[in-house]
Amino acid sequence: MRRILTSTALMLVMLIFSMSQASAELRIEITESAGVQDKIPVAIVPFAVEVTGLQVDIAKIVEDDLIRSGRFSILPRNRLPSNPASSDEVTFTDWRSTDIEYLVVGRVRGGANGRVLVDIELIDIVKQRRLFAAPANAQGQIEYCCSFNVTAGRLRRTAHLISNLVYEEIVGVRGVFDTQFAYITSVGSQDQRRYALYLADIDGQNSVRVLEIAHPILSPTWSPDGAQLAYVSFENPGRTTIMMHHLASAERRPLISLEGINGAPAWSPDGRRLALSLSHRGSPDIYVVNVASGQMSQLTTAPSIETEAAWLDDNTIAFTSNRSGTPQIYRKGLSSGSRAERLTFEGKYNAGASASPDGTKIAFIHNDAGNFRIAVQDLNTGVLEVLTNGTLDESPSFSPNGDQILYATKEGRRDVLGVVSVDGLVEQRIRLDNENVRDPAWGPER
Amino acid sequence: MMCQTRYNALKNENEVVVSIRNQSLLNSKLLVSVVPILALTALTACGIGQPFKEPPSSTQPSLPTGTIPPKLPPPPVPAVIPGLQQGTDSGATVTPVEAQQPIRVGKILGGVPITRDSIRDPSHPLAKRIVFFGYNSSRLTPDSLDLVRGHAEYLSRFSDVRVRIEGHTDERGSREYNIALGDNRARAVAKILQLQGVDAGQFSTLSYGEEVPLDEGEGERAWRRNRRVEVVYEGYN
Repeated sequence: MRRILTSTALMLVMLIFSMSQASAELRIEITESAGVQDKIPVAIVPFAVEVTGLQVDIAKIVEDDLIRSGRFSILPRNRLPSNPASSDEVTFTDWRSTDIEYLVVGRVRGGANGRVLVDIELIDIVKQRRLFAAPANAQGQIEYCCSFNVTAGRLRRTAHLISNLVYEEIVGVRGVFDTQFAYITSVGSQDQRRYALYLADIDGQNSVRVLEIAHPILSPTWSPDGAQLAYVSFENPGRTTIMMHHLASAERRPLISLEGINGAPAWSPDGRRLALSLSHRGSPDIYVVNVASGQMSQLTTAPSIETEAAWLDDNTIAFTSNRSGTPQIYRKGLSSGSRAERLTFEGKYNAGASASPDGTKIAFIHNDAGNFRIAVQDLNTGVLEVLTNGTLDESPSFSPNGDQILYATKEGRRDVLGVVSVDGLVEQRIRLDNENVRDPAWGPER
Repeated sequence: MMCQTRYNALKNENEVVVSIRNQSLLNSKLLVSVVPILALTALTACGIGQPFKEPPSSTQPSLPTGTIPPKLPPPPVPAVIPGLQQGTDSGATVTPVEAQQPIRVGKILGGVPITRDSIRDPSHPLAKRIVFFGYNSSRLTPDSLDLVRGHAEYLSRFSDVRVRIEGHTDERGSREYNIALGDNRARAVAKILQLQGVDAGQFSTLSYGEEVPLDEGEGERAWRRNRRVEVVYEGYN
C-alpha cells in the first residue's frame, strides 16, 4: 500500500498546474463570407494618439474584429479621405465618395497614474449624426458613449469592448469580441504524446496554457461565470476523473472518479449543478450533481447509452441516447416523472448536442451521407440545417450571443477549429502551428 | 503552502463524501468506491507518511517535460504477485507450483496448456489481447468470445492476477459518445469474465473512446483496427 501511495503522490507532484504563454500562435482566417449579401460598409480611422509608447493599434483590432464577423466591409486605410479624431472634425462631404455608412473615430490620451484615456465616437454618415447617444437629461443635454479609463495592459481588451459597442449599435445583436475559448492540444508521437488545456481570446490572441499532462484531457466546459472549467482527465491510473479547475487560482479538485466512465460534464445555466455521465451501475446514464454539496441524482435509467447532457434551461436537458438503435438527441425535464422526448429524426447519427444560450436551438454532429458534420436544429420548428462541409466535424459550442458556432474539424490529418455563423454564411478557420487543436468550448460573456 | 491548498481540497472532498452519504438514492457500493478514491487522491497529494515534495523548479513556470511517464503508469497492484518474481534475469528460474498442473480449455487455446507464464509467452494463444468490433457495435464475434473465455480461464486459475479491460472506438462522431461506446465494449468483455466466474476484484474497465488509436491512419482499415477492446494484464506489460 505504501508503494502505491508513493507512486501516486509522485505523479501528482509532477502534475504542475501553471499558466504560461503559449509558444505557438493561433492563426485565424475567414474562409467564407461571400454568402453575406449586403455587408455594411464601415470606415475605422486610426485613433489619434496623444501618448507615447503605445503598443496597441486599437482601430486595427476593431477592424479585424468586424471583418471576422463577416457582416462588414471595411474601407482600407489608404483610401480614407481624412483622419478625423472626433465628430467635430468630420466633414461629411469628404466621405460621400467612399459609400461608407458608418465611421468610427477615436482618440487615446494619457491619464493620471500612467492610465490611458480612450474616447470613441460612432457616426452615421448617411444620416449625418453621432450615434451612441443616451436619452437627453432633464436639462435637454445629450450624453454620448464612450470613454474608457484603463491601464495600458487592458487596451487590447478595450478595443474588443469598442467592437462590441459598434456591433451592437449597428447590427442590433450583442458582440462577442471580448470572449475567450478553451481548447485542447495534443503534440508528439503516439508514445510520447502530451495533452494541454489552453485558453485564448476569441481572436486567437493571448493564448494561455492552463494545464499540460501526458494523458488525454477532454470535454472542457465553462462555468457560466467564466471562473471555472470542468473537464475529463485521464491522469489518474485506471480511472477517468471529472476535475473542477478554478482558472484564477489554478486550484483543481476532483469532483468524481468512479468505476466506468466519468464523462461529458455540462454546467447548468445557474452555475449550481453539473450534469455528467457515469456507468458505475451499468450502461452510461446521466446524473446531476450539486457542485457545492455533492448531492447527486440520477436522471436517466435506460439500459442504453445516455450521455452528453446539454442544458436547454435550468430545468431541462438535451442528451444523446441510442435507445432507438442509433444515437439520437432527446429532451427531458429534471422533475421526476418527466419523460424523454426524441428531438432528432433525420439520419442514423445525431450526437454531441450543445444548446444555444436561449435554449431554442441545438447544434450537434449529424451523419450526412457518411460525413460527420455540424447541424443546427430549431427546437420550435424542428427544422435541421447542416452548417459545415467537413468529414469529421465535432464538438460544437455556441457563442454567448447565439450567432456563431465554434467546432472541431480536420484539414488532412490535422485537427483544426472552425467557426460558422448560425445562418451558415460566415466561416473561419483557427489553426495552430505543429499542433492538433480540438475540443473547443466558447466561454461566456465577461 | 501548496500542501495547505491540498488540505483544503481534502476538506472539500470530505464534504462531498458526507453529502453523498446522506443521499438515500445511492447504495453503499457507490459509497465504498467514492470514499477511497477521493481520500486517496487528496491524501497522496500531501504525501502522507513522507515529506511533501515541491514540484521541480524550472526557469519557466511551465511543466517539466519528460517527468511524467508517457504511458499510464501501472495501476495499484499487490506488492507481490506470485510468479512475477521469477524474472529471466534471476538466473535460476523457479517454476511455480501451478505451472506443473496445466489445464486444457477452450477452442482458442486449441488444447494448449495454461501455465502462470502463459501470458508472458508471445507464442501462446493468450498473447492475443485485442478483440475487434463492428461500427457502432459492442457485440462480440464468436472468435472474440472464445478469446475472452481463454483469458477468463487464465484469470480463474490465477486469482491474484488483475486485468484492465480497455475499450476503444474509431475517430468518427462525438468524443463523449465514443467514450460511452468504448465503455459498452469494455463492459461486454467484462460481462464474459464475470459469467465465466472470474472474481469481480480481478478486473476493471476503462474507456478511452477515440483518444488512443491503435492505427493513426484514416479510412475503413484504420477504423476497423481502432474499434477494439484490449485486455491489459496489470504489472505484466
